[in-house]
Amino acid sequence: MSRQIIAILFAVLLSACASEPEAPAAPQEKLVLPTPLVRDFSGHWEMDYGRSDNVDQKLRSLYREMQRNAERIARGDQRARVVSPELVNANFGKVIDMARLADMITDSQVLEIEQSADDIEIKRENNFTLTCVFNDGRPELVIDELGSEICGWSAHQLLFRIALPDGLDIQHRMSMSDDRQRLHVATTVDRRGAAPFTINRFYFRFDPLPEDYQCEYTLSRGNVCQTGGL
Amino acid sequence: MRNLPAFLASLTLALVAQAQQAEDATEPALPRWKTLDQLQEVATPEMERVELIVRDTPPPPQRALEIGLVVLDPGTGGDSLDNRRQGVFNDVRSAEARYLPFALRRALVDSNQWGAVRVLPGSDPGYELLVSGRILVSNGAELSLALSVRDSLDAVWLEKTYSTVAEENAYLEAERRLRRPFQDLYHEFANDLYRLKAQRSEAELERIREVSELRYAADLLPDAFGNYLGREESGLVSVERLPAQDDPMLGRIRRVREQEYLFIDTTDEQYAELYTEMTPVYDLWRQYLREQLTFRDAWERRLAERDKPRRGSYEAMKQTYNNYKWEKIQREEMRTLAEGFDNEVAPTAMELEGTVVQLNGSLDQRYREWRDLLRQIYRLETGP
Repeated sequence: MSRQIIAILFAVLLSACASEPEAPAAPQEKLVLPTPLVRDFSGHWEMDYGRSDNVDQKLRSLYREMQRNAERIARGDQRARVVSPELVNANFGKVIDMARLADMITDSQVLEIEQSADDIEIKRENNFTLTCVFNDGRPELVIDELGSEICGWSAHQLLFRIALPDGLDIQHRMSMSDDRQRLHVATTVDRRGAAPFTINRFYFRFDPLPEDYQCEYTLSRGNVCQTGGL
Repeated sequence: MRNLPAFLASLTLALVAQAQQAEDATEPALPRWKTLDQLQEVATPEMERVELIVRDTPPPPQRALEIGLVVLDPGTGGDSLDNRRQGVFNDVRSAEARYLPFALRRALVDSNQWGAVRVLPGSDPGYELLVSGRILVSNGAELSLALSVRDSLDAVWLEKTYSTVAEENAYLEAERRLRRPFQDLYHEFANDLYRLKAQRSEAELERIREVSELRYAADLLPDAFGNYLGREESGLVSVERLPAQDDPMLGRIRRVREQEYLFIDTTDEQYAELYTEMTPVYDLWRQYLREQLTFRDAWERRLAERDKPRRGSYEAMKQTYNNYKWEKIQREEMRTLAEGFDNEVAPTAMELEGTVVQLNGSLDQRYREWRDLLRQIYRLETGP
């Protein structure tokens, strides 16, 4: 039953996206299939620590911001309202928890991405592979025993949202620089009752060493490699 | 209205999470696959071995019915992505559908109770005894087959689901030499079939053979042999009249049938080759599947034993994420194994394709083409 409700809601969501030319939705929320492929993320990517967020620094900065905000509130300063109210109310301990989680789930130093017109596979070191079937433009919803996933394109960005038990929500938003040499993955961890925390990871493209041989995994002999292709 | 899509997207995800939570609240998140504990409940407590009932000498010709085992229905009707998520890999199942009839065949041949036992690429209702079926479960730890046997009269001998679990040491090299994994299932089936035959009189068995021959003849030449057979009210095929034993047309039909058996025996050799080549790889595959189930059980047990961290804490969120992560990683592992399996089995099938017949699905078509060819030869012999 819940699957049916979800399917209906997706249909409404898609029609809403298509029937609002006068008030276009924020582009990052409009899930459409780029035809032809607008972004090809294929390749090997390695984390750029210089550009990626440092969680400690980000937490310190957030803490200072919260302190300033609290002071503004105490002074009755109107500017305090400009800052996200969740941030004001958030318990900083919860923020730290969210930051640690975001840090943990984005610690892959290397990504290997295979993409075709039909689907994409993002193999992440020490983590599970993110896969998305493009489904002729319809966002793909997968409901599993331990969580649910939805993915799709939002303009030139690829979005993955994972809903886990206990209201935990993870979103990966991937984009690439115009010269196709940099990959940006913004990961937001959200949970009811806590302020969302976003961590930005940047990757640079690298070419693995050229291989004069090709390998094929077999069950009884493991990887069988030979030169000049199989 | 600007944020409607965003709102709906959030709502949908919230509902997904809520539905998930509701499910979590009512029952723990269990895998769709049975756990090993659940499998042990299915198994007989002492895992009694089923010994094959074997004849010392071949049966007398009047009791030596011929058996045709049709390639099994792989039981992979759904979407391949969905199947994979449930641990069913279409390529592997397709190979199993050809492999398992041969394993059943071996038990039947070893029992020494029957005439020729052949694996058939397609159904042949005129066969003296025809075995068909579907793979319900095959995951290394459990094998479950829905099997059906009917004779040439269309009488159903049995329709039964055979299930068994692999013993803990089933995949050890030494154990495998003594006893094939799931051997009990093959033995149980062969023994059931033997007992059913033992209940039949020689006259009944003779009738099955006669009808088989006439159904083959009627199929090949309906104008000449169609009226030899009828149907009883019960739906069973009946013999209306019999041709003379020295009927020259029947003699030709027998020759043509021998030709067909030649074709079947040729393909049978290919199945035997496939069986021999596939066995070590298949055992490994099933062994890995079993190990995965063992790992999964241990993981779930550890989770259950662990103290539940405070809701919303870092430890709780980490545990939630890691549960999901390991579930996904395990499925990826399964997929890699399935690909590894396919990389070994596929070339065999392709090599077979190039020599005698195609073993990948189109064998059924080839078989029909071969029968059409036989019909044409027969018509050339007899004239218009």
